[in-house]
Amino acid sequence: MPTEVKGADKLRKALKQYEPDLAKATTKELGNLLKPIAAKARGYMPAESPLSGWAERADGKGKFPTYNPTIAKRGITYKTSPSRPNYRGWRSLVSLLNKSAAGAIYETAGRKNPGGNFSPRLGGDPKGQGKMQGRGIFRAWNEDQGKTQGAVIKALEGAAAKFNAKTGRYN
Amino acid sequence: MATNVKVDIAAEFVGRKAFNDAVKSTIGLNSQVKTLAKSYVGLFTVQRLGRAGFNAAKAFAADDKAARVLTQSLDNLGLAFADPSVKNFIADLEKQFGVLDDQLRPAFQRLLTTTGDVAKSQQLLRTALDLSAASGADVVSVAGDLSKAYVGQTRSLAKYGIGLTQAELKAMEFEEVQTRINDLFGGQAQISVDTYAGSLQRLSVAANNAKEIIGGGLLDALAALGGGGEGGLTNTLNLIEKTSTALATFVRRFGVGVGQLAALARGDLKAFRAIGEAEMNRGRDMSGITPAIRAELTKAAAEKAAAKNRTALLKTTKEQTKAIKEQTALTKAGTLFDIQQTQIIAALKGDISAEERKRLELQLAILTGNTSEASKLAGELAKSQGLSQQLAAYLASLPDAKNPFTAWKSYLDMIEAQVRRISTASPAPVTSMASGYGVTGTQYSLPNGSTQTSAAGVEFTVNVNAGSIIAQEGLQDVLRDTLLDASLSAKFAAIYRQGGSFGLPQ
Repeated sequence: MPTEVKGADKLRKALKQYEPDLAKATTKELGNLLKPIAAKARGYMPAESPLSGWAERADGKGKFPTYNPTIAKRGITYKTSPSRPNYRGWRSLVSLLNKSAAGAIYETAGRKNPGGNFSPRLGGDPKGQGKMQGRGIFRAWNEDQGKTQGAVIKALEGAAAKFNAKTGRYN
Repeated sequence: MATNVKVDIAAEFVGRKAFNDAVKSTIGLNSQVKTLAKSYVGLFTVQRLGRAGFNAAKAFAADDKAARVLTQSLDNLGLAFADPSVKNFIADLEKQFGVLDDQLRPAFQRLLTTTGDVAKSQQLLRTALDLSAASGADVVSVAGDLSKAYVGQTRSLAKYGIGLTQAELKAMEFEEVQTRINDLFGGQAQISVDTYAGSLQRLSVAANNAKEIIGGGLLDALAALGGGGEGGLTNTLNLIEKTSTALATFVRRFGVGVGQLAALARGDLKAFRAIGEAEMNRGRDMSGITPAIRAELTKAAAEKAAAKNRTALLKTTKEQTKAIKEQTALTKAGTLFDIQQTQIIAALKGDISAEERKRLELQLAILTGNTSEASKLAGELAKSQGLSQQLAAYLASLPDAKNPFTAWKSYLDMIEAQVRRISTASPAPVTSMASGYGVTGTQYSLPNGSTQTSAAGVEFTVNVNAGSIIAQEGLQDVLRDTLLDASLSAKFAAIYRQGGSFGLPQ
């Protein structure tokens, strides 16, 4: 579950407007915190298609996305800009993403129905619980044991403190 | 591709704006509902009722017209007796298949005018309904296509995908085609009715029928207002016209009165009078022309118009004649074109060289307007011509052919020398030939079978030593007798000849 940070969006806007250097530094700091976990998650993505029939082929015309390891690894990334609010009114500030279709399939396949012929053959080691269970970013996140999350929150709080110290405008 | 596979590390709740949006949306929706309700209320105002009534009357009139047209068609075909049954048939089809009689009547009429047979038309109309339901085309179009197919124009049926080629359609009898259509699409109309769409269609039919019934009632009511009966509606319409005219007159004169009052208020009596006079003289002829002169003027205008029409007609006729001439010339030119084509094709069938064939094919391609083939052939021909030129140049560059008789000269010279040598050689002593007869002289050794002609004036001297021979004749006799002696084995001819007679003994 994400940690709720009240006033983070206002802080971001304020940083951008009044302390652009601090805004950049904060973004860079967040990136440095997220890079290792993203790299770890990329490492969990298979170097080749776990199933031969799922691999890309020249005459493939199906709609089901084929597994391309490069695309799957490239799809694992992070984001430090706020998203649009979801239908419940929550805006994500910092997030770790698995954007590619094949990567998402590898990440989540078998979570709802573990049996069948597909997901048991994917290999990997799904970690986590509920909707946070997976083979890539969820596994990396689970193994991180909240260290990165704490660091991110600390970085945001640090940025707020620095801003207050510099300007005294943000409360 | 955006996915929801993500780990939200930090998030913020910003739901208040979403709630505000929801509140605004609810208020907007409420407002729209109120407006909609007002619109529905407005639907039942007198104005809407009047418009609905007009539409109903219009629908009834259209339906009535279609029914009368069909009745007249039946009457014209001598099938007036079938009118009630046809009406019932169409009404039943309308209820059964949910297809408006506005479509069924024209469709049936097309089939009827083509077949001239009520039973056949009914059968084909059912086929048309099935085909219409299967293809999605309206039944009038399908009936039109079936009508055409009935008289042999089966081309239009191919678009319905009945699995027959144009050639097969042409070759088959219409009954065979109809059987195939029934096999493929039979029952489609009934199945279509059983669907929700079919139910809605039937609802629409019911609504339309209701509209027509209401429209009929409205027109009856108007007729009753005019006294009922045949002329009732006419009376009502006249009444409406009179009322409208009266209303228009009232409005106009009210305006005139207001204008006069305004003029009076201004103290402008002249304007007051002018307005009144204008209204009084409205519609009157104020030109001062007598009726007789007016009649003359009208007649003159009519004659002028007639002359103008004649001129226009003449011009049109001339243009048509010119067009026909041009068309004829074009046709003739087309015939010539055909002749040229025929000639070329005939020539192509003959035994011609490859280059000539290419030339002819090029001409044919140009005549038929086949530009791609023409350009291709032109290229080939040019290439062929180029090859011919190359061949001619090659032949021209060849050295002169040797005279095959050159060697003969030396051979003949050799013969001549040989002859000369023979003629100049010393004669050998005669040993055999002339010894028996005392002939002396030079013996010549000539080639076997050759004839020696003393062209060079060589003289032979023959000395005869036969004693009794003193003349050439004597030598001949000696020779002949000698030959006879040598070969005589009692040849009577020779004996007789010797005896002075030349014929066989009698």
